[in-house]
Amino acid sequence: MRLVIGIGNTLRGDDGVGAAVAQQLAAQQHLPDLRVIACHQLTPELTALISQAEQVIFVDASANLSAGEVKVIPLELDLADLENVRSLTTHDWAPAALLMAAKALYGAQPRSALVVIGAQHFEHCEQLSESVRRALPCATQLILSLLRGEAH
Amino acid sequence: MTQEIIINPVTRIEGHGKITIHLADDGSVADAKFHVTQLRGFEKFAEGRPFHEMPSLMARICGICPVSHLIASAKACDALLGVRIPPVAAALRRVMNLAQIAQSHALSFFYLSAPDLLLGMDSDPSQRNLFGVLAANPQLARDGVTLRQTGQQIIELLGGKRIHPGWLVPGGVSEPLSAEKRDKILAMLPNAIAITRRAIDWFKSILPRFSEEISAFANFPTLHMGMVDQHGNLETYDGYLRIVDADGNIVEDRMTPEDYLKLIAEAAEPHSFLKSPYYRPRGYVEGMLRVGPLPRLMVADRISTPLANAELQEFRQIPERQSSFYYHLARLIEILYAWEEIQRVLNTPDILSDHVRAYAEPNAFEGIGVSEAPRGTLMHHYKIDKNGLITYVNLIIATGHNNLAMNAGVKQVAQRFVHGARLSEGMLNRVEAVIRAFDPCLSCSTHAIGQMPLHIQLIAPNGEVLDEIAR
Repeated sequence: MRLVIGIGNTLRGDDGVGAAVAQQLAAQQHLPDLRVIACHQLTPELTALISQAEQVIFVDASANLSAGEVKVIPLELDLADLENVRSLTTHDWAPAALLMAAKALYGAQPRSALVVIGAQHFEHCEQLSESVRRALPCATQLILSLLRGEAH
Repeated sequence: MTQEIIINPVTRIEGHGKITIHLADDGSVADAKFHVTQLRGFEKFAEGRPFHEMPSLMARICGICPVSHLIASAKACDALLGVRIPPVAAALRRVMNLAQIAQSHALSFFYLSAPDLLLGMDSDPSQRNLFGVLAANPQLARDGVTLRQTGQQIIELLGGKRIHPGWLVPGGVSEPLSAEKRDKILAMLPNAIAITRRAIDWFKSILPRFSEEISAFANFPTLHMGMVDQHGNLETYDGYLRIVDADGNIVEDRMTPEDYLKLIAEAAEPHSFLKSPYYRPRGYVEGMLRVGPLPRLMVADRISTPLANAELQEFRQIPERQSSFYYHLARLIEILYAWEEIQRVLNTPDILSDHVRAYAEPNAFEGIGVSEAPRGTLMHHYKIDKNGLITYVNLIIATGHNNLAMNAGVKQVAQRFVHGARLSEGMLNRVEAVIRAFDPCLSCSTHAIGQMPLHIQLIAPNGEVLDEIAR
């Protein structure tokens, strides 16, 4: 099973781009082993699902990139870095924290990547800004190529 | 002149609050208070909305227990419609409420409190979190993940999604249960039951380490409120309200949701946005109540499922069972009950019936819905005008019922564990942990407006900072 997790709040403008990409990927009919989910935040229970995947790609908005810019960030697993990724809360884990938990709890080490899309507007609305909306096909194609093993 | 210690925010609870500890001149604790620093608005901004929107609107109060609000809200709307919903719809709502209780209790026990229970109250705070549990006892962490996931999957199978499912509607539920979904749920339950029994055994094995906490974690007499069925069994979806005193004597029984205003009044304190409900006939503050898993076990004569009932009867033999430290054990017993009861309900012959919704126009101007949420008795009370628009909303949330007891509990713990001019981390963790035992949901009982960093200061009468801890 290959897993794509779109992260974000669809009620906060561009923050919902991860969920929008997930929606586009969920419509792909030619990848029968692809499982796509969208969630507001990453929670510990996702470790069980991640442990069953051979590949997992997280998709999230980034306020640190220019609007519409798409970037792949490799997720390096280093248990020594646990201190840097742990969270006091139970609702907002980082992708690397989930991967480390999946490894520690289930011995799972799926191939992984984080795809981030530059976002600008996070006010209360359900629409993506124009530049972010235009980046959706590019982000979707990039993830499909990652799933096919064509991009790194 | 008194000194003051502030813990802000309290960590590993749902929402944001702070604790202040007021010291007397001799360094002893004179008083302590739990402050909820969030502002609530749902009762006001629902006014003017069509009543049928209320279940979906009210579910947005919280991302942890949206199902609880859906249940109470749908029941209040049933009362506005004046309908008796189809029995299968009630059974399916019951299943979803039980799954909600189980997944929320699993979050509280395994994610929020297990770090204290496994690693110790005085352990290194940088390890005292779920990652610390994961490193020290991976089996316990896996069990927590599985139980929470099981509850969430049941909610998702029934309602279409884990958070904010729109399946519960006024008059029943929007879709019947399929055989495929029923079988998927039933297949998950034996493992969930085995895990829960293992967790109960583990918790009992560590109890001797926490004798001091048991004796001081809100260990005092209060009233206890919860729902029971017509035979006195533990009930979570639809039953009668019962109140017992600290000795188990029944103070109120067979009270219906419509009676709630005879039972409960609400006070406001200047130090908190969270109101303080109390048992009206005894007045403020003698009417201090507790609700939630521990009080539900206090009010119930028995549990209708065998494994959980055996645990309840054993629980009744514990001399200090009124200590709020036993909320943890009560939570695990209720998880066990949830899985057993879901099994029973899903094995009833007509559970796949497609008659799951009653349709009607509003037939009453006022409706009250009461159910048991993970944290205790939840009350929704609505009034509408002739056009079906909401004119009045009163919500009494489980966390609110516990407010007086939480404040008294913080004071009791502070008086036992906080001494002198130096603060220890473990001392302050215990003050937080008594709040965690109640598992308050401040998102439900208020409305979040932000988060502040943890900062604890002990300040002398002359303004000198005697000690300071920041997280």
